[in-house]
Amino acid sequence: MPGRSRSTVVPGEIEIYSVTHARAGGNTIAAIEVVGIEKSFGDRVALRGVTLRLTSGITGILGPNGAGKTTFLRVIATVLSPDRGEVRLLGRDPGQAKDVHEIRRKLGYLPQEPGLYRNFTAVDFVDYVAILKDFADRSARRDEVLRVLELVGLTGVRDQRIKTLSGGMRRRLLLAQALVGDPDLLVLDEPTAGLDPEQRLRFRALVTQLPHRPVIVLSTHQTDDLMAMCERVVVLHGGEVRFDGTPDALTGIARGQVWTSAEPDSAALISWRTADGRFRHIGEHPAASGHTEPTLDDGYLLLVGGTGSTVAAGGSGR
Amino acid sequence: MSTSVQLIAFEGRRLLRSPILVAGVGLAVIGSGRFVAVTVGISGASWRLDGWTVFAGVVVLGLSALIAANHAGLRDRRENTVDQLRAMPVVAGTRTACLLIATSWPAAVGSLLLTVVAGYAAIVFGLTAADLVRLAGLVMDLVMFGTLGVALARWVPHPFVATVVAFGVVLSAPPEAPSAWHLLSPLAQLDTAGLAVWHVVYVASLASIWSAAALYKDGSRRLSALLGGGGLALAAVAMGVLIPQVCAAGRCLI
Repeated sequence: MPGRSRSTVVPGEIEIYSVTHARAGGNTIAAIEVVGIEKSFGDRVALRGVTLRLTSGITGILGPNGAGKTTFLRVIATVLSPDRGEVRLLGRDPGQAKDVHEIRRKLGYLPQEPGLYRNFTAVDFVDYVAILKDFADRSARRDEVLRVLELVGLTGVRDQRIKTLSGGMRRRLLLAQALVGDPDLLVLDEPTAGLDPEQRLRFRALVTQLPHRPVIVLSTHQTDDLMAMCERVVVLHGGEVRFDGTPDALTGIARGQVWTSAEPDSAALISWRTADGRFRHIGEHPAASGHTEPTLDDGYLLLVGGTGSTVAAGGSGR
Repeated sequence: MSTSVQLIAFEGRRLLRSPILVAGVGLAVIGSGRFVAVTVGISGASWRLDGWTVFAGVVVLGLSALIAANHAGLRDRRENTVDQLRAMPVVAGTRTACLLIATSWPAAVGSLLLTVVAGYAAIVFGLTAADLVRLAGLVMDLVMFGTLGVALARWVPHPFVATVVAFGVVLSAPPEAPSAWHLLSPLAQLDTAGLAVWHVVYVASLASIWSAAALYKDGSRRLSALLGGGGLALAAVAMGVLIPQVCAAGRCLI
């Protein structure tokens, strides 16, 4: 089991949350080690000096739209190269041709808007991906394809065309293609987007119970997914790391800074009306008492919430 | 077996199962069947007079290979898998190269059909050397159309374009006695075996040029330079031989 050395819970500061994972021989190899990476698209800066080191477990990347989550995941999936900074994946340099080939053999990637060949059968699609993952031996490839389809529970529909599968099945098929070759690093960009609650539960169970225990990095807007799956949360905002620590630590940021009232409170940084008609506020509470137990959402909103704003019931702050 | 061989086999199987190609094979078989039906038991039958249904059927097969290869080449873009496949060890250039080689599978089906037809024709009424070269030219046409489909997918990534090009090829098919500029069409039929061989060489050079174009787009610069340079040189030599001879026969312009 990995041992946690420390977590950083100070908003706005970047520190390394280090999870050590002793391997045979006593060496600790970071699955992902990025130092000061920057990436711009024209005038828009997507990543500003992001530094992270991930060695094990499931890490969730959280942040508002345009925060740089997808860009970061594309960099660690070897799809994009940063403009500046250093990247090492699975102990190798993705900038080197021979290294990137080895990294990709041990990398599973599910992009934000993944595609499927609708006229392929499920087994043909995963077979194609297995070939692209460099499975040269035909029988080993066949075994691997059947293994991942069984892992995601699609054995029964393996000969069906993808266009006939349900949305949840397609998501599982996409996960299956990412799992081909037992990757050491799994990069999932909003993997639960568009899934209904039951499908999300199944997806979480699947990801958290993978037998090979790969290092998983996933981005999501669903804070309950983070609470259920992730040992570590990284909040990106404006292309920078704003938080790096445990989900509990992120929740703890808002401790003593959440309260409810019947009326809007101008002292709050962010307020919103909840389903029971009361207002929930985040910010510096004017009174010493009357605090409410914070949630991960509260911690996150306090971290990335800007100037004072009030939003509708059940909404999130801007 | 290497990954590339597996990928070529996979893409080849997919091409052969493409409904467009299956339809093309069906029409080629019908064309060949009609040729057999018309010529069987008739004295005085010849490839030159009666072989046009085989020619038309195989050309349709070639155009269906063009469209099927184009669809296969557009698959990533059409189904939005470009990003996820970029994270795979097998790079885009290798995938394109494998698809280009896999386009020889429809050509293999066509050559099998033509071998049967040629065998029948040789037994029943005999084939000239020029007829045999023309048959070989049809096989080369099939290869060339497949590579053209992949090149179009890389450079003009819209399925409509391949269909338009296929129609353009049919509409620009040259007459029986082609003039010099008609030689540019891959469907030109030449009188003598000597000229026909050079036209087969020209069609092969086109296949090489289309392959180079497809590979260049995916970053395989060295291989594309080799294929492109070789193809252009071969095309220049073939045309250098053909054009003066066609002009000498008085068909320089029209």
